[in-house]
Amino acid sequence: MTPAGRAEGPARPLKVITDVQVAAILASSIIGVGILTLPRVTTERADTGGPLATALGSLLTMGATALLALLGRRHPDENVFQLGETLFGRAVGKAMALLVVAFFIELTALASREFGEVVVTDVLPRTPLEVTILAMLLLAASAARNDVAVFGRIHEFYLPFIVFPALAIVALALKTARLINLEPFWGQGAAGLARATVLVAALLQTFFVLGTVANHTLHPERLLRPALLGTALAGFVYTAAAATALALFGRGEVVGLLWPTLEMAKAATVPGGIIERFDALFLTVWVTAVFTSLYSTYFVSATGLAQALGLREHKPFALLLLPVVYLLALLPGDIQTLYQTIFRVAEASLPLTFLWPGALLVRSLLAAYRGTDGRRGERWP
Amino acid sequence: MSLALRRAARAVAAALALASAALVTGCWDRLEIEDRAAVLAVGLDPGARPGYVRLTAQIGIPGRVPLGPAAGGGGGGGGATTGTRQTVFVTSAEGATVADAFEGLQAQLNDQIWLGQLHVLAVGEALARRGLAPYMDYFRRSPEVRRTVWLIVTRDAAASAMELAPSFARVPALFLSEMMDHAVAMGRLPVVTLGAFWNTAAMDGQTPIVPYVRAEGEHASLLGLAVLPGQCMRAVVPMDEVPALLDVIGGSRSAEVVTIPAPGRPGERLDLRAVDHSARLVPSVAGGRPHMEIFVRMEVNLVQKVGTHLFDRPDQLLAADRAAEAAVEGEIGSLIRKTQSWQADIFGFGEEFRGKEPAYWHELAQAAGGAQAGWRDAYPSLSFTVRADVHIRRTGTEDR
Repeated sequence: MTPAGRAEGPARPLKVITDVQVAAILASSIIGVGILTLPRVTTERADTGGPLATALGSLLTMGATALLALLGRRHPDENVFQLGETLFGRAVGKAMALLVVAFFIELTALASREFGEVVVTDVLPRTPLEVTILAMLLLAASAARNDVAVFGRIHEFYLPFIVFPALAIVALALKTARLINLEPFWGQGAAGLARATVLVAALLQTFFVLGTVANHTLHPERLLRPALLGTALAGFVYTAAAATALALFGRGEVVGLLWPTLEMAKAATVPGGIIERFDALFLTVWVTAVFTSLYSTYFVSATGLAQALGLREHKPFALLLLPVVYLLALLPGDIQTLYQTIFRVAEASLPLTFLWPGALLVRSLLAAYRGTDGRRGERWP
Repeated sequence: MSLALRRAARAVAAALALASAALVTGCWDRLEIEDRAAVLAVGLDPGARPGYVRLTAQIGIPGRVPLGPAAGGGGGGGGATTGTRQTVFVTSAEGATVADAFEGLQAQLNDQIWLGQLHVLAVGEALARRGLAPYMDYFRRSPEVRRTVWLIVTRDAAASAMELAPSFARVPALFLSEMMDHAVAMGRLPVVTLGAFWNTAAMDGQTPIVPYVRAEGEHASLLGLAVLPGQCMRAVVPMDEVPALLDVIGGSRSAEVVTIPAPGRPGERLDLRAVDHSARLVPSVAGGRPHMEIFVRMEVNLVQKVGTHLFDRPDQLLAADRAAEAAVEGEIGSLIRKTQSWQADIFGFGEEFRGKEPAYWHELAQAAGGAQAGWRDAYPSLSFTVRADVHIRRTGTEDR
C-alpha cells in the first residue's frame, strides 16, 4: 500500500505502463503452461491442421484483445471491472466481476497444478507435488502484492528470457523437422479445425489481463498497437511451437506425447555438443513463463475481487486468495482429470473473456451514439 | 483495510516465506552422481522362460567413465587404453516385462538405476523378429530416456553386444553410439535414432528402420538397416544399398560411391564419390493408382579411374555423367522394388501421398479399415519413375 495509492482519487489511477510494457505484459502473460500440451491437443482435434488452428486461435485472441484495447481507449480511467459497473449498473457489473474472478482463480489453480505435474514427472520426482505448487503460488502471490508499476516492469524484464530461448529451441529442432508432416496443412476438415481453434483461444485467455492494466497506461490513445503486437508475439511463439513439434514428430507421434514441446526440447541438440541436455535449459525458461502467467491471472483475480467488494486496493487479496487457489490446485485426483478440467474450464470461460468485453464496447458505443454518456461528439470508437 | 488485518496478513506472509525458504531447496531429489548406476547401454533378448525378456545392461563404474560430449573421439586423453573392463560393468536380469527385468537388475546393484546417460538400446535379432512393440513402452514413459538414444538390432544376442570390448575405445557403449553418429555425419546412415523410430512407427505411410549391427568380442560392424514393418523385423537392407535410400530421403550429406563402366571403354571403371545430393518427390494419383516421380540431383567427384580412358575435356565428363545417372537410377529402382516385395515402405512415399493426395489417402484408409494396412497393401503396386541428374565437378589432383 504505497502512499501514492492512498492519495489517489477514484477517477485517477496510477499512469505508469508504457507501450512496450503493454506488449510485454500481454506476450509473457499469454505464453504459459499451455505451450507444453498445445501441439498435442491441437493435433488431436485438427490432425495436421494443428498449426493452422493455432494461428487462427491467435487471430481470434487478437480480436478480443482489440476489444479490450478499444475499451481502454474510450475509457482511459476505468478498468474492465469498473466499466462493467459504469455501463451495466452496479449489480450486473459486480456479478460479472465475481464470475471473471471465479474463473481466473480456477485458471490460476489449474496452471499451478499443471506446472507441479510437469516438475514432479520430469525433473524432481521425489519432491512432493504440494511443495512445488506452493512454491510457485507463493512467488506469484507475493509478486501480486506489488502495484501495477512493478507488474509492468517484471513482465518487461522477463519477456526476452521467455521468447528468445523458446525461438532458439524451435530453430534447433527445425534441423530434423520434416515438412511433409505438416501436410495437408488444413487438416481433416472444418469441424476439427474449428474445435482446435476454439481450444487455442481458450488456452490464450490470459490476454484478459489487458482489462486490468489498460487504465494504467501512459498513452491509452495508442493502446491498440502495442496490445495487438504483444498478443501477436505470443501467438507467433505458440504457432511456431505447434508447427515445429508436428514437423519433428509427425501426427502419429505428437498425439502420443503428454508434453510434446518438452520432448522437442529433449530432442534438440546444440551443434558442437556444448549443451548435452537442452531440456534443462528449456524448463528454466518455461518456469519463468509459468510464473509470469500465474502472476497475471493472480493479478486479475485480486483486482477483480477488490472491485467486486468495493475496495480500491487489490493487495490484501493477493495473500488471502492463496489458500483458496492452493486448495483448488490440489483438487484434481489424477493427470487425466486435471487435463479434462483444464480444457472444460478454459472453454467455459471463453464467453466471459471474449464476449463480455464485446458487450461492454457495444454498450459504450450505444451510449455515445445516443449521447447518454455525456461526451457527445467524441470520435468513434 | 484495518491495521490488524494487514498485520495478520504480513505475519502469514512472513511465515510462509520462511517455510518456503526451508522447503524449496530441492532436498528431496538430491542424488549424488556417484550414487547412481548410470546405465550406458541396454540389450534385450528373449528370456529362457517363454514370453520373458532378458535384459543385459552395461553400467558405467562411477569415476571411471568420462560422461558427456568430452568423451568423444574414442577415449581422449592419456592412458585411455587401460582396458575397457574397468570402465563398465555388465550384468543381466530376466523378467516378464522390461520393467520387471529392471527390478531384477536393481536387486543386483547397490546404486539406483539411472537411464539419463543411456546411449544404446540393442535388441537381439531373435527378439526383433518377434516384434519390438511390447518392449518400447517402458522407455517411452521414462522421463530419463532421451530420444537421441541409438536403437539397434544386433545380428547375434544383444547380450554379447553389451560384452563388446573394442580395443581402442574406452567405453564400449560410446564406441557403438559414436560409430552410428559418425556414420550419419559421413552420410553413410540416415538419422534413425530411438526417437526417429518412434516417430516412424506412429506413421501410416512409412516403415521404421534401425541400424543392423554385428558386435562381438573386440569388433563391431554396421551391416545395414533392419526393416521393421509393424515393429517386427522382416528384412535387412545391406550397407551397400543404403546410399540408394539416402539419395531418395535426402539428408545433408552423402558418401555414396557410384561405380560405372567408363563410357565406350569396356572393362574400364570409374569410381565417383557424392559430395552433395538432394531429392524431390512428386506423388500423383491416376485412375486410383499411386505413382511417384523421384528426382535426384547429385554432385560427384572422380576418386578413382581404372584404365586408360582420358578425362581432360568437358564432353568426356558429360558422357560419364550420363552413365552415372543410369547407374543411380538403377540402384534406386532396384531398392524400391526390393522393399515393395517386403511390403515395407522405408522411403516414406506413403507419407507423401498422405500429405499431398489426402483424398486418395482417405479412400485407401476407408477401403482397408486403416491407412497403415491400406498402404501396406497398395505399396507393392506403386509405380514410379526415377530421374537422376549427376554432375562430375572435379577429378581430384589428376588432370586426366
